[in-house]
Amino acid sequence: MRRERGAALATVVMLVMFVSLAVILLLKVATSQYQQSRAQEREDVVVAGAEAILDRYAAKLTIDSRYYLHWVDEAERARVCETVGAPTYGDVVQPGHAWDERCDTWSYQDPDPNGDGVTDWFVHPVLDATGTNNDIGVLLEVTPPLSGPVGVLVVGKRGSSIQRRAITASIHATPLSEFYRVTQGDLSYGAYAETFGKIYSGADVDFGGSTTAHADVYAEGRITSAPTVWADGAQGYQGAPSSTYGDIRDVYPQPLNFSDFWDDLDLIYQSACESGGICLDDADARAWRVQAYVSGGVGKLRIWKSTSSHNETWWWTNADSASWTVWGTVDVPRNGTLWANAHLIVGDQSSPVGVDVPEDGDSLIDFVLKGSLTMYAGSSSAPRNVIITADTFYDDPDSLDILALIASDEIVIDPGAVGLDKELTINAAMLGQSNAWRFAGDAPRDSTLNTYGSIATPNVGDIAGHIKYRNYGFDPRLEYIRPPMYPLLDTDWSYDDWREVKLPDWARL
Amino acid sequence: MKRFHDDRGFTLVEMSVTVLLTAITLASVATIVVGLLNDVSRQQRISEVEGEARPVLESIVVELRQAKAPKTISASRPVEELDWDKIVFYSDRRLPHPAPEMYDYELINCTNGTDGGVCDLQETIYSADTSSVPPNYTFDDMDLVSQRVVLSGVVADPDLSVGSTFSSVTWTGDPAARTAVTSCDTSIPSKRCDATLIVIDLRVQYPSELGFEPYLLHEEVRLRNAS
Repeated sequence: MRRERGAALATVVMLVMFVSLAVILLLKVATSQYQQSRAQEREDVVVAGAEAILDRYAAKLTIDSRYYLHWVDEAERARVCETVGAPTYGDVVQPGHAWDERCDTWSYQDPDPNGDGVTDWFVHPVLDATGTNNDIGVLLEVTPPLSGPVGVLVVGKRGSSIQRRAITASIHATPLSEFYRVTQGDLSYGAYAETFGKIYSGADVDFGGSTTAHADVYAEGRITSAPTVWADGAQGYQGAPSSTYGDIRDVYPQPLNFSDFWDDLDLIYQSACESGGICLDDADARAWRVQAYVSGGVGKLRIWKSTSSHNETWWWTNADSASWTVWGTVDVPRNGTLWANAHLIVGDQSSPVGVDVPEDGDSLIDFVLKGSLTMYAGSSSAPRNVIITADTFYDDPDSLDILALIASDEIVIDPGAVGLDKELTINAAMLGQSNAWRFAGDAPRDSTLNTYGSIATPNVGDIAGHIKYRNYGFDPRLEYIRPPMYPLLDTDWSYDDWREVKLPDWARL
Repeated sequence: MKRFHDDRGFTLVEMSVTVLLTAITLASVATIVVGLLNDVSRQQRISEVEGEARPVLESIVVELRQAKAPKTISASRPVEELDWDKIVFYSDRRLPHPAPEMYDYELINCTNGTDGGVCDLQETIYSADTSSVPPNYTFDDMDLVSQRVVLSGVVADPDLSVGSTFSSVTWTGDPAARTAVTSCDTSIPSKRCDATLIVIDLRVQYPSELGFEPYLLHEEVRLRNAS
């Protein structure tokens, strides 16, 4: 009987082993499934965290369209200035610190603010779950919009997990300046015309013979006559879609309305007068004159005030003969905004400051901008003009510098600005909010007007009747660079190319 | 002298009881062991089915999340076509290419034909003809990158409430209410795929002997590049 008891023990042991094996196998399967779903969940959470930081950066760009030039974001890797000639060339700036905007190219180092030699991931308070190993750490890199929209790469990780995910997106706003021409009336382009930027008409658009459109054409009415060539993938959209043209409502849900821009223009005033811009607001001022020039590698503005009382049209052609007193000389403001309560004269051909740009060579001093600047005259209740009296150039046309001229009333060109070379060049995004853009008189015979920028006016104006040759060019940088506080068509920034990408090498460490 | 061993045998009754008890014990143990082994086997098969389905869904989600409208002749959308058994969209995930590829996920070989049933999920990827500007996206001019069945045993039904695999969501009315859109086709102006939220309900059949309801993987994907 004792031996039988031993057999029973062996049987029970074997049975227990069997059951244990089965349970282990079941556990293994269950654990595998659990780990699989947990890994998936972790990856989704990491992507969501990275996306939150991307949205946060886009929101900052909405407030400050040159945020990337003003700050190294808290979540960004440490930047090294790579702009040869910039005063801060080679400097390393840690996350959360101010950046020198004269440096528009940079490379990255791993951020290590505490100097312990270990990369510090940024954990936003909302994503912080320290102690639970669930906090989301992120690092981002920014590509400046030198040849496209602002690009942002975000890498996220969760706790001490090795799982990391990277997303990128091109972020862009839709400012009015991305149009080559906007008007509420009919637009007509004569024979041999070439249009290089987007065109919008609140009515009809008509192209003559041998014309070429290099960018999309939008007509709330109809495209009555198409350009001979649609180049570079350009398409036409009109109010009544057809087999040839798309529906304009597919692209712009509402017709563009100039009265919608007043709120944005008020923000320019607030930015200039309440947030560190230049506020020209003297009750006795009848006009302000601004001359931009470069001194010691720094963009400067020399500003004069005139208290001479003259009617509006007098200022269009006689600004030079007005009595001026120097208001001051200042750097181009960091927030890029200037507001004037009176007519605003752009440039001073005989200014004691500045140069005649060599390629211009008309022996007259030009308006040369270094930095980005939006100049706005008047308001909805007190409309004022912007009057152009000199050629306007950028110190570095390949930089991120942009000039915007906004008149609450009209944009006016003084024919005297054409100069001895019979050629006037205007580099700017221009908005005449209440009427049109116009020549104040006839330009000298056989003169030429060159514009490189964007022109938005409710009415078409009369340029062709006052100057013989006209070259309306588009500054392609306006497709992805918004002049400071320039009115937006949408309130949000949007993503051009959101995508998940392979981890960069630095993120694998 | 007392004998050390009792040489008397077991009685018939004792033997019968012993055999009976042993049989009952062995039968019980065998039942438990076989049951456990069956459970292990079933769990492994369940795990396999789920393990095959999850990466497929994950891949579709990643591609769809970053879908983008190509610059085509007519107003384009990230999603070209959507129906209960099919989604066609543009996404720039795989190729170092200036234009997005076209992805076509479609249920084929359904046991009940157009009424669904148990189907295979086929993935087809085309790259655009970029010799023209804008890139050409007609099927005739596109390069077939790959075509393969990525998942079998997908249970689907044209009826959205029963088993639609692909659908989309818009918000209509005031206040806006979530509304399912069962089909769209961007090539038809009145039926353009404007929804920015795509719903995927991947119902995967377990082996029939398991007798389970299909395994459901549900994902809602917001199109990041749709405006």
